[in-house]
Amino acid sequence: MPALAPFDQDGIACKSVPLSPRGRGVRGEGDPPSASHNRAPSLTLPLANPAFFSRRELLARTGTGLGMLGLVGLLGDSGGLGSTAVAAESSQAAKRTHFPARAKHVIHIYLNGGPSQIDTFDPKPALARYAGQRLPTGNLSTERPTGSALPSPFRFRRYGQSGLDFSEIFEKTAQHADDICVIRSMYCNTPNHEQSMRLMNTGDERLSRPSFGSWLLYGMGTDNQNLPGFIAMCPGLPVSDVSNWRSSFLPGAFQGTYIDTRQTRVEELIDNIRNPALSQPAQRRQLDLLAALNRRHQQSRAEDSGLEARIESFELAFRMQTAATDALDVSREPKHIQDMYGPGVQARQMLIARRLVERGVRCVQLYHGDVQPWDAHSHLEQNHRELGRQCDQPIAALLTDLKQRGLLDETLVLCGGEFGRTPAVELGQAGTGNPQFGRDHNHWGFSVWMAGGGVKGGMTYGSTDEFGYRAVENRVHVHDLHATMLALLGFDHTRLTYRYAGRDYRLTDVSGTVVRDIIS
Amino acid sequence: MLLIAFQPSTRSVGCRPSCPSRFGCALALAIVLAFGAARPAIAASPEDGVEFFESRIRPLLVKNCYECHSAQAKELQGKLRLDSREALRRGGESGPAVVAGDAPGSLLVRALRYEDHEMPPKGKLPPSAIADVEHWVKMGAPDPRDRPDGEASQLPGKKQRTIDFVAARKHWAYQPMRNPSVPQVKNTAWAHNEVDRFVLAQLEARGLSPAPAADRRTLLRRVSLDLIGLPPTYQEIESFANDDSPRAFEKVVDRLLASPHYGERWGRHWLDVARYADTKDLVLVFGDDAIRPYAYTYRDYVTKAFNADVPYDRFIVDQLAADQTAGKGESWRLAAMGFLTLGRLFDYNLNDEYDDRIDTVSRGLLGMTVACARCHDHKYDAITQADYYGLYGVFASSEEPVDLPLLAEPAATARSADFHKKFAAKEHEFQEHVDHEFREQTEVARRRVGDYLLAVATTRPDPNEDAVFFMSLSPSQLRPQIVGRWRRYVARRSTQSDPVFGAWGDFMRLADADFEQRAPAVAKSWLDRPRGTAAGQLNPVLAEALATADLHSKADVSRLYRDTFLRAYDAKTGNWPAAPGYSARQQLLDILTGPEGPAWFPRSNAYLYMSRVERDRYHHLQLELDRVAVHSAAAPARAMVVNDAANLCSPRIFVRGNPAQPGEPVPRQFLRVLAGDHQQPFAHGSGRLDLARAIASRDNPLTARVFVNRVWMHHFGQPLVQSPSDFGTRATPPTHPELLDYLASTFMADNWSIKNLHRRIVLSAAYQQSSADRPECRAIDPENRLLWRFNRQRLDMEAMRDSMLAVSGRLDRTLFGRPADIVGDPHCRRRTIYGLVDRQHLPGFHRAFDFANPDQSAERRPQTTVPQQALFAMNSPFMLEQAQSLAASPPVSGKLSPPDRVESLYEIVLGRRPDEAETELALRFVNAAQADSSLPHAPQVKLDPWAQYAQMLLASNEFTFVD
Repeated sequence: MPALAPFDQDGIACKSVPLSPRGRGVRGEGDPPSASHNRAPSLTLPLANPAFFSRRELLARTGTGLGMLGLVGLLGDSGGLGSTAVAAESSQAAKRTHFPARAKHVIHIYLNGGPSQIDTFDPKPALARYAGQRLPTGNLSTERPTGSALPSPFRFRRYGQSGLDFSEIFEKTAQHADDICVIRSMYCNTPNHEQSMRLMNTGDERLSRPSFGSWLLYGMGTDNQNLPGFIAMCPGLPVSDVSNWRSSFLPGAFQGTYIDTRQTRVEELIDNIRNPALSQPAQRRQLDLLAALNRRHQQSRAEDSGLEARIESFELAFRMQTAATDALDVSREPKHIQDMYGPGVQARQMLIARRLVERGVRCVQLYHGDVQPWDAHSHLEQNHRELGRQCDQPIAALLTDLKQRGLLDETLVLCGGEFGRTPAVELGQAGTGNPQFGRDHNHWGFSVWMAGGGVKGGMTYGSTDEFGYRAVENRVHVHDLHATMLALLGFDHTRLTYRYAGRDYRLTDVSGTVVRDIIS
Repeated sequence: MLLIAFQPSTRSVGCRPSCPSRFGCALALAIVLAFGAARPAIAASPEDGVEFFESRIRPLLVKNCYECHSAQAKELQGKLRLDSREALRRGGESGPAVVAGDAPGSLLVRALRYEDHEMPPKGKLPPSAIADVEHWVKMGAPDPRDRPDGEASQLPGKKQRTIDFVAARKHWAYQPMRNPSVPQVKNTAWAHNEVDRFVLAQLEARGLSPAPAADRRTLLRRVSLDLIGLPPTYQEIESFANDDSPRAFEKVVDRLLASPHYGERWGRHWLDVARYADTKDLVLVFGDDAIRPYAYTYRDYVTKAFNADVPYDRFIVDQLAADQTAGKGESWRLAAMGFLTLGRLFDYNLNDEYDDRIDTVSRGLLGMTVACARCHDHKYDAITQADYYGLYGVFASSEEPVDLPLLAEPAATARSADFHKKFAAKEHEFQEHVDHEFREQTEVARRRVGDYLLAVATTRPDPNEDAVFFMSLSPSQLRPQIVGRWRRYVARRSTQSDPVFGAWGDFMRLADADFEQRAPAVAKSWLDRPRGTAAGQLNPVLAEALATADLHSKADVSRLYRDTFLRAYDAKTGNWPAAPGYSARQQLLDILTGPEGPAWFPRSNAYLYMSRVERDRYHHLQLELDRVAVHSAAAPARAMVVNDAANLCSPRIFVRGNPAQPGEPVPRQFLRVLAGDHQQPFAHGSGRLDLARAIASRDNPLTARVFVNRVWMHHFGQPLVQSPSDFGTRATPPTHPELLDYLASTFMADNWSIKNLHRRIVLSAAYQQSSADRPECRAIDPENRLLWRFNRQRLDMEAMRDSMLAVSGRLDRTLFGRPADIVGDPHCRRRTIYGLVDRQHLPGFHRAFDFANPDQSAERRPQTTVPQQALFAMNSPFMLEQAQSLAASPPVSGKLSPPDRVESLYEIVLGRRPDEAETELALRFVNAAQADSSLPHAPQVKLDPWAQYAQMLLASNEFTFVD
């Protein structure tokens, strides 16, 4: 019986496994050849954990899409899982995508509820000519009946050298005009929140599909093993709630970690992040004991890397307790930074987002608020003005902050909602016929903007018609947006696939065209 | 046809990347109606026309359209080709692309104008280009292309794939079951039973040998966790280790299979396949409101069925058709139908619900990915759209009743009486609302026939008619779905021979400008026809109205038809013009009120036609009804059944999966590759029972194979076929094809007994092998596909939590019942299978521990190692509670000496005694922890050192993995 390592001694040194990236034929013999056989391996493991998938699963799942072969080589032929040494290697492999990634992180500022394009980023002076009258081109059908033209109550100005138009509610964000690309020709399928939220986040309106962030984790892994790689923040819950960040058929750990930012204490933000009973040294002692027990158990099972992976996961979790607490604690920021973001939950979310991205978190979503705050069926002016007041300064601060830290180049910032709003006034709930200065949902045309991460700044792309109803020029469907974002992140969206239930799935389903013109 | 087109469109459903429907259903939105006038072609010589085509139109088509709409298209879109004159005029799925002379009525022009289709999708063409096309169509669309550009004609698309069923049936999984002969092996001493000979034959063929038998302690832990999901006690281990009888292991297996905990363990495996969840996935419905009050009765049925060893074929029939087969006194079987009804609700989109049922039944029971054939024939397997819609018809012919059958007689207590009063009132209110709205909406839909026809006559199709659900409608608005159906219906019947809508078609083809002038001639041409209801005649009721009509506009035509229909509808008696055979009035009534007519919809779909206020009320009442049941302990168990609908669905194939594009009719029937090329349609009602019997048949080559593979997977940690829910041509073939057939055929011969199947497997020497590594074997077969050892397995979520509860002496062994809060309540001691499965808000605990995604039928769980699992073990209130309870339990705390305590903990948690070194490690830890807590500035440690120690035993790999 070998002597036991005492509980307070360092763990047994991790055995290392020789790394041999080889492209063995790993698919069934009858399978069609993989398009990526000759490409560099491109997939790494989420949380950089070699045991995240078993080797078998990797082989079974990753289809012909990604170049998994090298990774399989990395994991070795141990009959199961990789080892610690592999973990280090594969976290570097995180950067190996289909082609060089322009962006390494995504921050999605989600103005949920459907902000009005004609009151924010897509000025339509022609509407004023028809104020109170029917539009000559007629109204398009949306969820509710609509009436006459409702011009924007907001003042627009041109900003930056590029002269991009912003309405007054985003006048601070507008200071970054030259870094921003506004896509004015977005469109989607359905004027309903639930479906359009899911489309924007998962590429499908109703079925259970992995979200953008989940796909990204699947494809890229994360740079920080001590934090979840995909975090979705909202003060409350947006419509369609978890389906906006779910992993669906991808493993549960790819799911976005949801944080209710109405809470401020870290224990309320991440499950089991803190031990209620033990001090850190006491817990360290406990984990040393555990390591000793596990090493002993492992001695006669040395070939099983699943055991090693679990041992490592406790060390990772121990570090994560500190790292997560630190990342979410905005009070550690200097005062001038806090002041720049300003007060309120929007500011706190944006600041947390920056802290997360800085620490290597792959994808961060920030929903503006509970249910659908931007859903201005009535009194749009007051609604949009107030919401703008809440988020304009924090958004501007976030862009400034990312830029001054050199993070904007590698961080793709996306801002927008699930659809836009009608240029014609809404005739009131259920056709009561009483217009209340609101706009109905509009899936025919809307705007989103992107900045950083390889996007051309100071430009608009595409346009809506004269009144801002329908995208007409260089139209960009949500699938196209996804394809473009994945391209910026280094992926060919047609090759980021996952085999499930007999099919190779992808974020863009059977659609998606990359909008090359907005890539710098 | 409209019987099945009652649901608004699904848009494009998900599809593999190689799917041809690049633009989803966008192309398939509208039916072409030639609204514009058939003007005479603009005077031009034929040469001018061709010249114009060659210089302006052909280049435009080549540049902007051919990529998707020509013989050169990689994947032809919408079955539309624009590369020959003939193809252009014939058109595609949406109808003719060009009506010569009629620019506004030509789909091509409207698509370019982005009026209904939006082509090209990348962006609208410049106005000048569109004007050119309009001009060209007005010229009569001169087109010299009598052969397709590029290559010889090969219509309609070159990528048409036909399935060769004879060849397809040669695929291993569709081959009839064999009863393979048991192979000869060299090492005859090793084999316990036939299973072993199949395993050994392959090992020997590769120069491998089986592992030595596992020791008895290991074996007992393995088989206990495997069969009942709970570890053996130390005493059980000792007694088994000391039982010399040759039947010792058999006795253990019999004991475990007889335990009620067996059904909890294996029932849970089935619930993965059944995508079981307790909640509704609705928007903005949270907490208790999301709970389906009777979902648990399905979970309990499954547990009972496994415990009772219900034969698997009966288990299938129960789940698909217990409403038709449960005998007297067998109402418990009705709960089995939750298999069909517990899926997601998809925002109440019925087409998706049926799809989910098709998917769960086909992948879950047959290992066939039938759902791939929703929009097109399967790309790899012999599954056609006709197969899909054959099954669609079965599920669309089945309805969930409001009044679900009771599973037990309610108790006769005062509380219960109070509940029933409340429940009955809510149920009544809900039922009333549905009945009222159904009557009302049906009546309004009929009575407003004139408004609908006016919309058809004077407006262009609106995509919302097909594509959008959840319109917030006011009571007075026309129902977009019905408008769309009228359009399609009228378009289909506007033929020269139709006795009702033939005249309509002729009127509508007139130009608005000279309508007044030309209408009398059209009227006369119809009035000249013989009266009657047959093709080529004119309906006499319509004729009477037409004879006196004064038509100034197309709107007048719609009024003429309105009056005609309403006359037929309103008149109770009266003198009706005679028509031989089919009565003239009946012909009109069939259109207005019949199930093939545009105004018809089934009662179950009434909510889709309600105005916003009424629909909100509908959902509210439904929620309240469930709420009463969820919140009352007196609510009796009910079964979530479906019954055959009063009006059965005669399915049609939805072109590209789009319900707004119904195509060929198909019978309700089984899958052709299994049923043969000359199968009979299902004969009984919805066909659910026929379907169940076709699946649960000994002649079905898949059913038994798929199931035994699942069972094998749970025993060995690896299946024989790597994709347990996909036995199609893309699946990796079985590692042991003969063993698979042996297991499947003996399973069926043994009356589909699942418990005997377990016996056959776990009594084999292969199952009882050691899991120890042998590098020489690993070099040959690194993944242990050939089973040269047993696979070490990690406890799944349920077995882990249940084992912790068991060893800490806290497990509540109550069977069955409503879902328990195992996540929010750290004190909850129920087995994990009874925990609430919240589909929409799957808790972090479930996600971290690889719980099967309950959105869809799950073939196997992922296995991940993530720090969230470790955080749970380190910090969760549940773990701390188990640790404290364990340390404080009498067998531990009652021991006076610390080494005895260590020994006791080892026996309880790990089922063995510690060695000296382990004891020493434990004591050093406990001493250090105690010393620490006595320091003057000690941290606030609230966990007893022994509990801290116990927690790490529970967290250890030895506890978590099974050798």
